[in-house]
Amino acid sequence: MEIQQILFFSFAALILLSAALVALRPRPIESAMWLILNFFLTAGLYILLGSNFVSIIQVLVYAGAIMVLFVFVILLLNLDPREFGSEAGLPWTSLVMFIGFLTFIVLSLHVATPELMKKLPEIKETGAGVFGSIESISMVLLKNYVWGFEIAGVILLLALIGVGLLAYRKPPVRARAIHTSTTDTMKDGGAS
Amino acid sequence: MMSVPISYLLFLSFGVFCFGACGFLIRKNALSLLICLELMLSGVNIAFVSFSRLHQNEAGNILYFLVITVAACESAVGLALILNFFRIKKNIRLEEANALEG
Amino acid sequence: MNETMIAWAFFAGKILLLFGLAFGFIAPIMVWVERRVCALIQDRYGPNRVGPLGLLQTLADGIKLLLKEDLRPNEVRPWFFILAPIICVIPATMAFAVIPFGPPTTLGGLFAEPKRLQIAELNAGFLYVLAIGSLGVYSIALAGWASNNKFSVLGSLRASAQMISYELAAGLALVSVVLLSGSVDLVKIVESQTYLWNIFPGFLAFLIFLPAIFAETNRTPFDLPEAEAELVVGYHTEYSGMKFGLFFLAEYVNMTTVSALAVLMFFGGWEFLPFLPWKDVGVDVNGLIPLFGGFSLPAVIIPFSWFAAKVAFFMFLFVWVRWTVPRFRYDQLMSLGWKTLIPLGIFNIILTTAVIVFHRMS
Repeated sequence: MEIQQILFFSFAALILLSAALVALRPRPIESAMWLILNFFLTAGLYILLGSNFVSIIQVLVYAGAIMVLFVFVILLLNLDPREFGSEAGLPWTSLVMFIGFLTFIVLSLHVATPELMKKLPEIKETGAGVFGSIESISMVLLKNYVWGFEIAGVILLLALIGVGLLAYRKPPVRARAIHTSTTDTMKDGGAS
Repeated sequence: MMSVPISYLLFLSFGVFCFGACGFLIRKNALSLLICLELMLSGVNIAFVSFSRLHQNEAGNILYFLVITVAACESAVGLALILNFFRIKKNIRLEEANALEG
Repeated sequence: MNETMIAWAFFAGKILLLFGLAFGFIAPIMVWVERRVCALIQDRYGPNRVGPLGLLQTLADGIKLLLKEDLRPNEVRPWFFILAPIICVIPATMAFAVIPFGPPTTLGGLFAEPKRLQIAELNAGFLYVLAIGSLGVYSIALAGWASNNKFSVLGSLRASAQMISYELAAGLALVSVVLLSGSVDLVKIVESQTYLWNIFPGFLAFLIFLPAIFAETNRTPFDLPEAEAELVVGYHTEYSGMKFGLFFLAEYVNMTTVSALAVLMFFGGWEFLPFLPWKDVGVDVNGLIPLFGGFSLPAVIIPFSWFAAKVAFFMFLFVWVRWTVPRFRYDQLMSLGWKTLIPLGIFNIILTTAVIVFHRMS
């Protein structure tokens, strides 16, 4: 067994283990930490696959931006167990795990065919630079898939506006609040 | 470079996806649900990048970028919703989100 | 000694040199420099008892931190409390892996072709530094959350928000540098600056980058997470002993990384003067410098020392600013980041792109 294979199998085992812990740990912060580990290991797997740029983006965007947002929100809410609720019962959990396992088996049987058991080919040079390098990916992205790229930009903009709308609260108008409260007390005073 | 059949990579991808899906069905709080969604998307990404490597074609890597864009938007909007939910209900238990129940 | 053994020795040598310098030399010396410069600015003596000029003060402090009892307050969240300082140090050290510290060289004929003085010869080094740099937030968020203390949580909330915002500004500033140099490879970025340092065409980018790195390393004038007048010391209120020592160490290592990045991106890395590279002064990086008694040193030591001197200047700038400029208020910090630096960064990218395109067309 060569070193690449050993690395692949250890990465794969750790990825599956951390994925299981993400799904099974009760507290959100623990799930988030295991998911961060999972993303790092996946980035390692991408390096093994030769997609260097993708692996750096995995760390930069997933681990560095998205999960930071999660950890930040968990920190901001500072929940105690009462607030994030009880767990599903054992029957439901085991049923779901069983169905999940069945799905995995069925899917795996589909791809366990001899022609898919061939080894991966060697990495070649593409038009611009080695496969998976930033030059190669960006040439294809900005030539053949430029509409996808633009739509991704629009989706990001929409998400930005949406989050802005969701998070927006009208600034409290102090003067009016004081005014209404004084009139209320005046009414009360008049009644009593 | 790496002498592993594509099906092993697909097994890994299915495994991660199924764990994400199971977690999504087991969990009852909104934050864990979003985390499990990210895990499912990550499983899909493994398959995309592996196929990209198999065919020596950058299309899979580019799909990875599109998926990651969607993941970023989804988590940002989802977390904003959770914050608003928390502001109203003072918890993030999804069984409390029953205002529309008949 | 055959070829592979020399290559491995070279590899190990690079790692030992960088990490030895970072942990064994730069961090301790910087702590001393900080205290002495602070004393100089505030017109007092500073540490001057332990060793010559007080140089061994840091060593004494380090031993003290190591020997202290490993306290863990009662109410903290156990695993995360220990995890946070560890996570703090790991990204700080990882970023060093792609910082090149000298021109590609044959080390005076030891190798057939020039080798890079960079631990991991990654061709997307710049992105790697950004990616690793964005991980520092975790340790701070976790430290505050795990401490289970009002001041810690407030400090870490401030720190995370600040680091996320200023990362964007720093990233935008650096993108325009990448546009100017036409590469994300740190060595190639330096090589593209042989005759024209990026500071001249990218002056606006540098103006955005400089406050952003101060905020990213949580140094004054942006050290709000630690603001001792309001928050005790922010996210490491509950930490003591070597756990606190790790946070402290990571801060100085991070300072070194961002200083090195500033030098590489804007100030021509190891090149001599803005319009005068080493090869025009007659220094051949592949050659040897003869010393007395028949010994000789590889000439690459000259650009390496020059690079170290530039980095040292930036480290000094950090200290100088810390004891000169007062702390910002939190709303000032946020509006500077989001309303000034980020729009300016976007404008700068558009401007740079337009200039490059027009330059190519003409």
